[in-house]
Amino acid sequence: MSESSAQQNKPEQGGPATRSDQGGKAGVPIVLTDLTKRYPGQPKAAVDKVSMHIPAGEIVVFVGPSGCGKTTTMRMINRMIEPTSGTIEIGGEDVTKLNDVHLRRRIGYVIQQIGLIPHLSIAQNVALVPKLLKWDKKRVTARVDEMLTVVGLDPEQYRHRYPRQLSGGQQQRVGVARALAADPEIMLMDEPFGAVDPITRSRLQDEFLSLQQTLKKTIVFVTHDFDEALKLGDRIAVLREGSEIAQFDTPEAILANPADDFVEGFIGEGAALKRLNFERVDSLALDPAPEQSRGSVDVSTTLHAALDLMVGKGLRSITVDRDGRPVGSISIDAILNRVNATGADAVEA
Amino acid sequence: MSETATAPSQASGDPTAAETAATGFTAAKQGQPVLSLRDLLTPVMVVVVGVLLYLNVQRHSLDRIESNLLDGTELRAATLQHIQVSVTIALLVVCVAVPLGILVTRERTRKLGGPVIALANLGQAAPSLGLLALVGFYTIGFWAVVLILTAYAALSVLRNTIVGLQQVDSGMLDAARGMGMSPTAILMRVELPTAVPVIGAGVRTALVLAVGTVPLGYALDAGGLGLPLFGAIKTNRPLATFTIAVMIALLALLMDWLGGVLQRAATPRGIR
Repeated sequence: MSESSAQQNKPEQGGPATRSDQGGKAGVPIVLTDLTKRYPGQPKAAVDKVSMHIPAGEIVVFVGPSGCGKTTTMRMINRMIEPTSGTIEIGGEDVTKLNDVHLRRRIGYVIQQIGLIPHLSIAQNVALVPKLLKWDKKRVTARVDEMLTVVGLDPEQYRHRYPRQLSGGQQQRVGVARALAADPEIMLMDEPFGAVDPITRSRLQDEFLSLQQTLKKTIVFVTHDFDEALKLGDRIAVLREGSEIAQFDTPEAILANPADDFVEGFIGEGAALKRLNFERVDSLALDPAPEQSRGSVDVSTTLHAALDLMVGKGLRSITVDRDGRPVGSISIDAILNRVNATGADAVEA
Repeated sequence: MSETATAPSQASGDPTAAETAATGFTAAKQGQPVLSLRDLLTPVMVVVVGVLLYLNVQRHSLDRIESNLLDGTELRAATLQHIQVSVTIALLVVCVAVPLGILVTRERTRKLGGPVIALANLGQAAPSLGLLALVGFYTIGFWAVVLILTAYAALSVLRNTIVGLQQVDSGMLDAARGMGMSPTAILMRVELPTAVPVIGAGVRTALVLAVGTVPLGYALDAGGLGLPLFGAIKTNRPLATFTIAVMIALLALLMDWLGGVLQRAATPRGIR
């Protein structure tokens, strides 16, 4: 964390933001220590002493079966649910004692139901938090247009519409724009793409990832879909009942070495193939390029995609291009060997 | 982004038409106008019936009692009084029942819901004529009638306020809270505006109830069309009875219509 941004998150608290809109604030780390939520009259804690370090600028996905407490854990971070005990530090500051309403203005919040306010226009919805933070009018207007553009909605066209005039996918774009409007350092997202059709979901996921490339927010993302977790997470926390962390690691590491049967069960079928999604063609030693080829892939292609192409075309090997020029080839056997090698690792571990 | 480009025509031309094409909405699009042609039906009908009523009276030769009862100046004054009492009741009902409805839907004061609704039920269940007679022993006048009928009509607004607030989308409330809106801001800027159509419907009901029951207060000297109506009944003048009764009915229709227009005007555009 750089000094300047560490300074910034202190006086922010409800006051007018001090920094210009350009660049935006990158994420700060979140540290949970012994975070517990116990509901009266229930023998077991819903969230039982969770400790976790969420690194700055990463997407950390909480994944687990329904009722495991993943949403409860996330909602304690912005104190939508008050923790029974334990501490939450955001950028080194203990937020458990802060005014909860002011705290939430600093944290982006996106939920599956989206929750746009139907009688406010799209622009007014996006402007909500900046207005709560008392930004001046000009700055709010400029920010609204900027955010709509960022999420791929033409401000001219959508500014004055109402939520019900938008499709579900468009509404969630607005939901993301609204969460980002006040340039929060961290974002909480609870199954944000859960209610849209698969094609739109995949597109929203892709755009969200490329957005995060530039924004570098710290994002806590809750889902029950392990494939979504693999696709989006820099790290994945697999949670079991009571929000107990079964495994907290990078997607590759979890696929290669599931900590136990529970995690393995959650990964489901096809772990070996899923693992190929995380390796590029140029991670293998290439064979010499053939004289003529029936198909080619770029060096940045994943092994999964390369294998898929070969299976689809019935090829034993495929040419590998860099900048459109062949630099070698890769055989189906090399990929299968790689699968076996990493699989063997997993068995050893 | 192909998703946003589903209707290329949207950028140009008539925006309302383009939106209709884009989303498939028709009537409910971009907010219905506050007044449409269909809305003129009620006032036109009221005027037509009113004129017929007038012509019908002109057709008859009236005796002294009848011409006293149906005296134009008197009836106009009585009608204005009637409206005054009814509107006062409706306003008072809003002032009492809406805050109560808000109170019993708040997390902390939810427990009060049972007693408050029971009380409002009692107000409506008690026979209003009996209540008026009972109070008439002690006090009479404008406010006596207004207060009793307020208790009588409060339930409709209370119930609609509660229902209107309870049906506010929970996801929207969660998002509003998650963004850092204070409970008061959520109530004023999210919950109440969304509940306006339902609360408004309750107010209309209260207004119509008031117009219909104010005549029962004739003996308490609150004015209105009750006095000539019961005078006509007591003196056995069918023409006058009929004429005044229809006038009260027309008044109720007109007030309901006016309430509807106001209700729509008060409903925010995005949900109209």
